[in-house]
Amino acid sequence: MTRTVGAVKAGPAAAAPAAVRKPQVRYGASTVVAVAALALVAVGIGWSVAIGPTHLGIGTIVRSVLVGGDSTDAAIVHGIRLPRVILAALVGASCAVAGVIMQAVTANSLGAPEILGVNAGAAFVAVASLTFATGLSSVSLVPLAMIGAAICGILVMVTAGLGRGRTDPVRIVLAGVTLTTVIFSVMQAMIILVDPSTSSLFHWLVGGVNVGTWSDSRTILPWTVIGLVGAMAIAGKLNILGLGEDLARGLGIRVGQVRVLGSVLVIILAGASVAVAGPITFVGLVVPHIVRKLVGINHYVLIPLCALVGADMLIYADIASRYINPPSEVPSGVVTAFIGAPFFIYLARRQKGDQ
Amino acid sequence: MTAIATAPAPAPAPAVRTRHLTPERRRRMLLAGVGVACVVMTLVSLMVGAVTYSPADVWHAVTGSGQGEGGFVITHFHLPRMLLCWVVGIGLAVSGGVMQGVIRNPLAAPNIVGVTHGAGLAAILVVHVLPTMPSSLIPVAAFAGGQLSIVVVYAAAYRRGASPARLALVGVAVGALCNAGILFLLVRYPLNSSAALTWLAGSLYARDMSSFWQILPWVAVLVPLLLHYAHRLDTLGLGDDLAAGLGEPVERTRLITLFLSVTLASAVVASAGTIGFVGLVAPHIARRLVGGRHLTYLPVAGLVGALLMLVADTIARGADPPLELPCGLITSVIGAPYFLYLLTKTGKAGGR
Amino acid sequence: MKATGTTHTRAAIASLIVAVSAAACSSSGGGGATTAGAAKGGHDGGVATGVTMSALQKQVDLSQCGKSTRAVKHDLGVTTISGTPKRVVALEFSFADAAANAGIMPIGIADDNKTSKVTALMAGITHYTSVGLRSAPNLASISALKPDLIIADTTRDAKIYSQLKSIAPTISEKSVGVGYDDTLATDLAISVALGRCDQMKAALAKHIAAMGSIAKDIPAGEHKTFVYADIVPPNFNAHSADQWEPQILATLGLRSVLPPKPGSRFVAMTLESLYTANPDVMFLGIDGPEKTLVDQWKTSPVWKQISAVKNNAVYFVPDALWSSERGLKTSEVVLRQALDHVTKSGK
Repeated sequence: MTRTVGAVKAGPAAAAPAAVRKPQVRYGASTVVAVAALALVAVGIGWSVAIGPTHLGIGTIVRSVLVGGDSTDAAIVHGIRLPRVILAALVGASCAVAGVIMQAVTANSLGAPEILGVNAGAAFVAVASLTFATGLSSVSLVPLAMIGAAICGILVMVTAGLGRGRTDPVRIVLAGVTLTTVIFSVMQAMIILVDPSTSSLFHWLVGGVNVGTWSDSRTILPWTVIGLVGAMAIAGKLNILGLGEDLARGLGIRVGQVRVLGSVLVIILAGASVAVAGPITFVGLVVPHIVRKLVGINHYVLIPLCALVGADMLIYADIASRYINPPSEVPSGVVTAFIGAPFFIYLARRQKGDQ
Repeated sequence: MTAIATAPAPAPAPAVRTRHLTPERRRRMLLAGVGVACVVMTLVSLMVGAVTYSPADVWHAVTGSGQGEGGFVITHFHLPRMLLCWVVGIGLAVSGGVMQGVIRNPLAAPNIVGVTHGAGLAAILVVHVLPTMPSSLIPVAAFAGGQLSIVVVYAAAYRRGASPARLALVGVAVGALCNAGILFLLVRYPLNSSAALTWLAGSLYARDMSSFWQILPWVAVLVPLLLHYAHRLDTLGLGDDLAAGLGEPVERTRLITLFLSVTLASAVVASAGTIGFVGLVAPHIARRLVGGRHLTYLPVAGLVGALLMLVADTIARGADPPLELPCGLITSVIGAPYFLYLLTKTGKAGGR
Repeated sequence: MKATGTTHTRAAIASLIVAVSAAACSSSGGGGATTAGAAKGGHDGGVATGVTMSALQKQVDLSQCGKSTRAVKHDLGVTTISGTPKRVVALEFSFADAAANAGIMPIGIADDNKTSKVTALMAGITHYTSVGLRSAPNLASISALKPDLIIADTTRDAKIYSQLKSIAPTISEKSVGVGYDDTLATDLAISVALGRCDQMKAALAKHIAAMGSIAKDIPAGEHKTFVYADIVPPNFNAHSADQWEPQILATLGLRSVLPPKPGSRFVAMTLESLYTANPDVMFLGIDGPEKTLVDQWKTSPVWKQISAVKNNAVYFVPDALWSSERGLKTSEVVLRQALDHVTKSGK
């Protein structure tokens, strides 16, 4: 399935190489989106910090953040609420960027780490490690989760027969979904077997940032940065890859290399976010589509904006998770699923008729 | 993968008659093996439990002669489970096979079209949100949930026809939505989460003959009905255009067979919980044994499904008494490696 | 999870009766302290849990005691039992403890497949057959034991009650989510079914006396607030005031930060709500070395500001002993342990 290259003027590739290499950047739209996303992040942070068992006013928040101090409110802001929303921002950004890279690399608009089994693999390895070595910290979980992500990612890519030309999006999605089902059912079984009376590992079936701490944010930050920087580095190549594999090869891009690089970045981003927050669904699927609709397909612009909008999505999902069923909290992963699944249905409907 | 019977090589000289295991013969032997295994496993499943009894005990129990050990346990606990394995295995396997034909993808299974998740969501909803309801309402709710989800999937996928690709994808999405709902309920009502997780993993714990009688009519009616559509499913498998050219009312046949197979799956899931992989793996094994014609491979799939269930349930009860593992766990453990092998094969073959 | 409405009515009536009879002479039932009132709030020294033999005897229907064929009413119906059952299968630890205290060692217990959960404290039960998980007892195992009485837990086993009935006469009582006072009442009710009322009354009287003598060591004027929670990552499940452990802890004069909440056994607290509640003492039930949730919370500066942390009054206690067993001797040990912790913490 080739995606139509919307922004490039019609004409054979040989006609205008320069225009082809750099898809048109909608500067106006991009600026608006960037500013809006940043504003939303700021508002989201403020809102998220304000709500909770004790409502805090704006003045209190500003004072706590800027001045600090030892009061109860400052402790709550610094110790509990702020780390949580910062983690949400980082995880949301990572998931969204992973999604946009994955969609570019698999040339599949339905690509996302959770659909293609990558998240499940990461979660499974994390759960297995915790079962057999109970004292592991988040930091050591990250490389383990990445290994799991890598194994599953490879499995699904192999099934889809990537590198053999046109890949059927349905087949790769089904393969990913079935793999995810396999993994989650084995995980559920492990949870039941290990100790049926505890739901300790239940957290790994649903992602959430509810108990985010500063150490979690510190754990994921370097990986998010690496992922973002790496993504920007290959953004140009991703642009060209979007024209279609044959065309990209014709323009001198080493397609296999780009795919491998992209996959590595996806594994890094997905593995790190699963290690600290569990398998968060649909951010990687939904955000790239929304941003693409707004600003076009130039990855130089797409990637940073996806990071911002992804951060927004998870911040607001986390806020919503506290309003759905007070006073208890719904895990943020459930909220993103409730948002993302209908969107997925909408995307699925758009699939062309027959295979 | 049709077999071409190789002509026997001419014997070199004197009387060394090598016996050639032609693919055809090999398949027949495997088929016979499956049949024998079914019979053996039926007996074994009656013997094995928290305490394992001898075949003689089983004979006495079944004939009601009053001699031998464990008559009560065998008739009250082992027998219902064995019968349940048969109907659940047949139901899931036939349902899965038909779904794979309709969606034209070997990875289709009841959980792909969101049926199992929908049924699960409805069941857990009833258990948690309406705990005062009698527990006999749970299968009804699960059945309704499964049916409702296929209606939603079909409606959402319908756009001048419901293509297999759209059906599969929308099914995945609806399944994800139901799954989110299930997880939400599990988190909201954590006290019963382990019981709910066991139900979701698929377990025949404490099922008695009433569950068997609940599922039996559905299997007895729907399986022959689906076999009636076997030829038309073969035609559908050629592709929409070709099938339409051959005079097949494509949309209608697809709709009917899909709904019939989902009804079958819902009925099974409603009483037995969400047991995975039987509907995915059994049709595959059957196709490898007897080829791709629905009329031949669906019944074999039923046998293989029953065999899988018998093996899984026996292991579940006998592996570590008195702990009873959920048999859905065992089917996952058996099915997962086979599925992975399948994945790589379809990847290499580049197609179905 | 049915609301414990009836048990609360019973408790209310019991308290009322005790309050009235406290004015009269205190030697009606067996021995034991006879101070009235629910086990909450500040007390002067020498106070016990507020449960008395007379209250228990009024709470439980003892009319069938001493009869050879008894019609025992329980949560799921009425069961006729004849003679004295000898082969008893108990599907909860507190039921096993009850049977053992009444003089009948259960031959089968649902012990979650962990024999370590049946400690030596449970009235000397040494040999039994495990029948599996409490949440999913193995019916074939139970049947193979050929029991003559099964004691089931209403909350968990209602759905398999008819199958249990087909194996042997079955009574069903509540054990999960039940307070200390109601647990003792249930023990007495079970002894009626067993036909061993007198033995149980003697055991209960002895137990109440033992609790009273431990209680003599309780310092006066205890005001601190406490929380008891099971650590089950990612949840911090704090028990509400009408649960078993908080009732025993209230004997010490401690006050629970959580109010009684019928119909819900615990409240999942977050670090923030724990900080807001600010207990002076924390008892955290863990199962083995698993404390990862608390370790995670310890890294937060908020944790250090909780009163209990500042007073060095965070105590990790074994989950099996404090939460699961709910037996007679176990409660004495728990009370003693709690007392030792609290008095050592100074103040």
